Amino acid sequence: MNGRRWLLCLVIALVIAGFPLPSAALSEQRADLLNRELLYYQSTGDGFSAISRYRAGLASGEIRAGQEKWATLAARLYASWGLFNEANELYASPALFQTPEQRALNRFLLGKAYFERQHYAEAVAAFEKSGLHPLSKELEYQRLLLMGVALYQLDNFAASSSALWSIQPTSRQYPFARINIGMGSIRIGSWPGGISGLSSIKKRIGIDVEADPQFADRLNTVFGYLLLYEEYAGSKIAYGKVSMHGFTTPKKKGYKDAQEMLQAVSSDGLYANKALLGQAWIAIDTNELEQAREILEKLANKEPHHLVVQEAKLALPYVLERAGDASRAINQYRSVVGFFDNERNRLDALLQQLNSSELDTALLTMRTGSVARNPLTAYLPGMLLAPLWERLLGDFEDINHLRLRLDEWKKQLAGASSTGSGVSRQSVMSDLSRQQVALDDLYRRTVQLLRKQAGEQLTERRSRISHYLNQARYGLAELYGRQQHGGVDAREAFLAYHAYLKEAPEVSAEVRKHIIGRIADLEMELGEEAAEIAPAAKVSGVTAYLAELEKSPQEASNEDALYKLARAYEQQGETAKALDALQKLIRNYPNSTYIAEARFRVAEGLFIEQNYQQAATTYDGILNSKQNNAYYYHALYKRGWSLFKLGRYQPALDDFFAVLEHYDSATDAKEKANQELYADVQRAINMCFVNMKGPASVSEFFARNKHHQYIETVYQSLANYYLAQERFSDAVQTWSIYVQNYPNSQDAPRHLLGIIDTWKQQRFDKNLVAAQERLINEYGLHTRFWASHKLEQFDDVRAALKQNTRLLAEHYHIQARATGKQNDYLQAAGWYRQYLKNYPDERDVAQLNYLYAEILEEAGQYRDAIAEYLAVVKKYPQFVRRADAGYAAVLLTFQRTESGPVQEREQWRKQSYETALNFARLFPGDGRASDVLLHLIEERYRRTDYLKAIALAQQVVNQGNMQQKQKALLIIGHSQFETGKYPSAEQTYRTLLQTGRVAKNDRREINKRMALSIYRQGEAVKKAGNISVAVEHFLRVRKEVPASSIVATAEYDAAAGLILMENWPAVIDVMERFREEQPGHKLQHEVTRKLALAYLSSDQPARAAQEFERLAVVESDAEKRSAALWKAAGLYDNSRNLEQAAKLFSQYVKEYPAPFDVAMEARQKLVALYRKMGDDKQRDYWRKQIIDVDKKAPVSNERSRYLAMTAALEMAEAKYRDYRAVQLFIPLKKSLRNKKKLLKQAIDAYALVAGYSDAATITRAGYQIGEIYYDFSKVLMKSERPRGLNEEELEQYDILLEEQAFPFEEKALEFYRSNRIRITDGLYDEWIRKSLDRLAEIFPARYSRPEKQDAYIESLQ
Amino acid sequence: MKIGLFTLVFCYCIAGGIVSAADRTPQELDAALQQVKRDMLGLDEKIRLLTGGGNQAGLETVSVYVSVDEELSFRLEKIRLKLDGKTVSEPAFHRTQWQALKQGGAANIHSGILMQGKHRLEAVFIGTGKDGKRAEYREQWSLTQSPGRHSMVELRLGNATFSQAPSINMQVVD
Repeated sequence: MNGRRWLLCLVIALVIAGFPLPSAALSEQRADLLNRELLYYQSTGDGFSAISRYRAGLASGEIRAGQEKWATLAARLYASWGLFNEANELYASPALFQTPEQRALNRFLLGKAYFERQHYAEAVAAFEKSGLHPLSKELEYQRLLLMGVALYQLDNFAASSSALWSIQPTSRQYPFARINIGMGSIRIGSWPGGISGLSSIKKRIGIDVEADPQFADRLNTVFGYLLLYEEYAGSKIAYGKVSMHGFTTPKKKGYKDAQEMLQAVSSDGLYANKALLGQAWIAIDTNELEQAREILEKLANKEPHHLVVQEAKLALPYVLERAGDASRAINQYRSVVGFFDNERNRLDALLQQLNSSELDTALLTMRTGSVARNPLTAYLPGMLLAPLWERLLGDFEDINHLRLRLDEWKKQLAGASSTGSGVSRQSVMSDLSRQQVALDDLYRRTVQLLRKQAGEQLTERRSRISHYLNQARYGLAELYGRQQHGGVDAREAFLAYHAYLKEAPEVSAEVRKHIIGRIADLEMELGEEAAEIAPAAKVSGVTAYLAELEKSPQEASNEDALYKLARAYEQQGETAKALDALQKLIRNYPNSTYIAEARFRVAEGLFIEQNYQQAATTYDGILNSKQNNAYYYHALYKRGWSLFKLGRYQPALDDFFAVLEHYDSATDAKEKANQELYADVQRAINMCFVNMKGPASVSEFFARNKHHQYIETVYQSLANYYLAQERFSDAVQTWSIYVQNYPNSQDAPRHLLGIIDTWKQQRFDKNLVAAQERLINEYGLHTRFWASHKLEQFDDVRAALKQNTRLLAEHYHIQARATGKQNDYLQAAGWYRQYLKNYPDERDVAQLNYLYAEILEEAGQYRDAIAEYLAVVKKYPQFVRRADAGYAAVLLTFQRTESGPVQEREQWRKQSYETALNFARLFPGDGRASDVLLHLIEERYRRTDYLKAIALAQQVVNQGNMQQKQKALLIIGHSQFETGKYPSAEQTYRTLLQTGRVAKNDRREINKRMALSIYRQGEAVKKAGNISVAVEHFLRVRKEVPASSIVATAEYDAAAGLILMENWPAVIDVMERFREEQPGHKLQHEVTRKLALAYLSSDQPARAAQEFERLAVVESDAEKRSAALWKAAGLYDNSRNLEQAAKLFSQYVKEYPAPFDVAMEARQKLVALYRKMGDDKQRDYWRKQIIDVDKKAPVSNERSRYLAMTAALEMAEAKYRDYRAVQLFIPLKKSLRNKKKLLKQAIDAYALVAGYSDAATITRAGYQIGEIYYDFSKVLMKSERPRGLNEEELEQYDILLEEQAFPFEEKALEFYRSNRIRITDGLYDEWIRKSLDRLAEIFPARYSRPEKQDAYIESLQ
Repeated sequence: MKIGLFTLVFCYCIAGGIVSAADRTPQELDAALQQVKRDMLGLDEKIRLLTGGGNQAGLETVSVYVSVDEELSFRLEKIRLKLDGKTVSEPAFHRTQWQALKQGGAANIHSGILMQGKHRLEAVFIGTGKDGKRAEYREQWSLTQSPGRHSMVELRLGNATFSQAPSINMQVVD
């Protein structure tokens, strides 16, 4: 890639700076811009657009044809796009082919174009032609370099070297030339030459390639690796020949120099990882394993598809293994086996996909896309380095560009017409179709080629990964057995070896033999499993060893093969063949290290074949051998078994006990393998005794033999044996005999435990209880056994004693509950008591104490039960059921208080009080505490101890739940009420009601009491004289408790208070409300009274009248009723409700005729009312009534008479006015008759008045009668004369009238005179005076003189 | 494991260090591709004639280019170009295009008709600043089109002296 970039820069430099200025068509700036536009297209790989734009410029005249600058540019564009013929034509055109130098340059440029598109043969040809003419020195070196590289690519290393050697050391191209020379040498196998060439560059790196660090990195990496390889391979030849470089001295500084070079590689460049891997290998080979590990771990975590990273992954476990870290090495090997297996599968999948089109897009973006993101390209970075790939990918891109362009044209042409262009749209469309076919064909062929190349690359990587995979498997298998825990197991190693042999490329015979040996060993170890794991395995241990024996029958190493063969046969179950092999081994190699084992195995073979007698004899042989062999005790053990099989138990037991003694005396006797054997020997001993007489024979055996140290073991083992056989009674009998024989043995109680466990497991409850009781009775803490034993050495026994004591207590507890027998209760209580006494510090003692209390309670021992419950509370503050215990004590005391013997109840009551209070104090958070308190509270309340009840209830309010709180509040309220604390009671009741959800009955009572509380407050205040506050309380009753029955009373009392305060509007409000809300209340009439008063007092006579009218009905007392009626009538009169007033007075007269005077006054009122109302008829009716009643009254009085007389006078006056109103007119007869009639009526009326003989009215009546007569006489005289009378007739008529009038005048004179006469009676008033005046008027001479008056009268006046 | 070490080191060293492949591209395929390219160029000329190409005879046109200084630290990713408030082009600059710009290329981001008179040219440059954060820079210019002219306008981005924002210059190329 460096070369390409460098060439591109060169070309750009040439294009931009190396040409003269344009002259005509295009300005300099425009030309520059166009130039850069073309460059842009070219740089983006869009050669088509570049050339198209150029040709368009030519067509439009922007670019003048034949100009050197543009021709050069065009040639380059054509060349870089792969149109070399067109480029060549331009380079050969006159504009560019004028001088030899120009021609040389053209060919050089053409060569470069060929080179860039990897047409190396054409490139070489062009460069060779270019070399025919002189070029500038640096261009010449470039030519040589490019030609050298092209020849290198064509594998013509000699010619390449020749060209490259022509470059002088002073040239900038020299380093590039030398490295290619060096590489070429290596390619042809000339390592010394390669190193020589490269080393010369190494010296120059600092000078010539400093501007290209990537190149330096590459050089250092390659060089470092070469040195590494040389050092690793121990190639002394190379160093010897290449002594000129300083690092190849006989002291072998190769690693050091390689290290330096690799360390010089920059850590972020392309070669960083390669350099690191090289350093890791150097560290490995120089045993700097820690350093190697660090480098490899860093590398192993990088991009996993990178070859270097994959190598590092494989190398890391190798380093770990060498460093002794087998555990991590194993894990790492496993990890990389998995990784490489996955990667191989992934590559297989990719290879499959290559045949489809799925990866074509990936191929297309390989040159431009991100390698890491592309699954295909992740494995193909090497492809990009290959020239063919580069060229193919470039072509592929071009083809795709053209296809896109074709699509654009099709769209463009859809709306185009041929008008005026001279080009047929149809023909263009046809051309497009042809092009499409051609392009598609090219596309397909290129893709096929790409796929083929990619396939080759991927196959190569697959092969490499397979190799890594097998290396990892081999490494893993070799680590088998290296780690105790978590290491490689036999299966894994077996599989890994098999996989390795199956997949790995050819391996050396030595390695192959090693692997076969390992597989055979593992086969034996795995047994039948091996065939299951690898059924198709071609390599078998047995066949492999037979092959070895056949290959060289006389070899000393066959001793080993024979031994393994025998084992292999044994493994396969071919015992006879195995024995045969062993016999051969014994025969042919009597001094073999395997000889003892061989003999033992022969005996074992006989045993397996059930030839016990011969086996016993063979074992005898081993045992009798003087040789101190490792199989002695195994043989002894197996002889014991052989004798057992032959029914010879006694000698068998001797052998078995001898084996036991041997292993017990050996320091490593308890190793795992021997432990199994040891157990088997015990089993054999057990079987011997079982086949004899069971536990009885044990006693007999030890009575006769030694081995007393095994007495306990044998009993225990035998018991266990019986247990395993489910012969429980035999097992129990074995233990029991032991306990009986050795009661003071430290194992005796433990054997009893065995008995207990057995009965427990078998659920023989009766036996179990007996055994438990036996244990405690014989080995309880109180027994003599402990006088000779230390309890602290018997933790298990102590625990069992404790547990069984508890179990016994529980057993009898349950039994007591079932049977109800007092004895069982007492038994249970006794065990509990014993437990509490012996194990006071145990964790469950609190629970046991609680149960103890319960059993006492159940047994009816209440006092003790309460004491124990309280003891639980006191002694075990952490006990979870402590509150339960406290509560149980409380309940029990309550219960005793209610149902205990009468004489004890008071005492119980006191105790219950204390117990309950204590409970509430100790367990305030317990829900039952409040219940307990409530119980006490109710009891206090019942006993009218209200203050105490309140104090306790307050506690419940503070801590109880809602229901409890309500109960407490209720009692507080009631208590406060009962003690006259009405404000507090009211408040408490209110609080209670606010808590909600109060029971209906309670609510009713609460309301009642609350109302009463308020009312009582009013009463108290009223009593103290504070009426207004009292009224407020009374009024609150209705407001707070509207449904209370006391509301009416309170309201009434409030009204009464308000009356006292003369707050009439308020009184009216309250009473009106009362009337409405308490319609049937007995105080309703009082309300009416008060309302009447209030209305009266507040000057509302009409409303007051209504109230009095009501009273006139409802008052029970007639006097009150009449008075109310009178008052009502009067108030109506005052309020101008005349009709109602008249109605009520009339009612009054009717209902209350007596007393007479009042009734008369009522009549008088009626006269007045009707007068006011203008109802003359009614008025006169009542006047008449007055006159009549007075007249008829048995006993009249002055007032009555006055009223009657006044009525009569008024009536007379009325009659008089009626009389006067009538005029006389012609015909006189008719009017005269009417007038006369009225005259008579008026005179009668006055006569009536006169009848009352009242001095004041009698003169008036006399005068008025006189006046009537006198008037009549004058009216007659002045009456209208009939028309038509002559004078005489008129005179006659007048005379006749005088005659008629005269009597009337006389009558008048009579009455006037009678008044005059009354003067003599001492009367003189207005009417007498008027009468005298009238007499004087009629008889002036006679009466027209002043009355004689006494002088003193004058003087008095 | 010595075997493994040898194989690894040797194989990789050589494979990674030296290129080796012969020029074996089928000549026939190469010739076919060249022929297709020639044919496409021929077709290109025909189509230019048929569609009038980019130069509309008798009409005023404009071509807008963008270029950058080699050392520009702002990584241009996209341009939104507006003429008289209307977006006419919105090209993206991926890795290849960006490298082409950095190597001195000028990208033609718009060519089209632009009538005589005064116009408003606006460009929004979207990309990543030196600090790695996304950034947008907007600039607008006035552009006067003469009768019958094909205007070439270059927008050039360079580093500003005192600002993280790039300097943006517009030049009408005569």
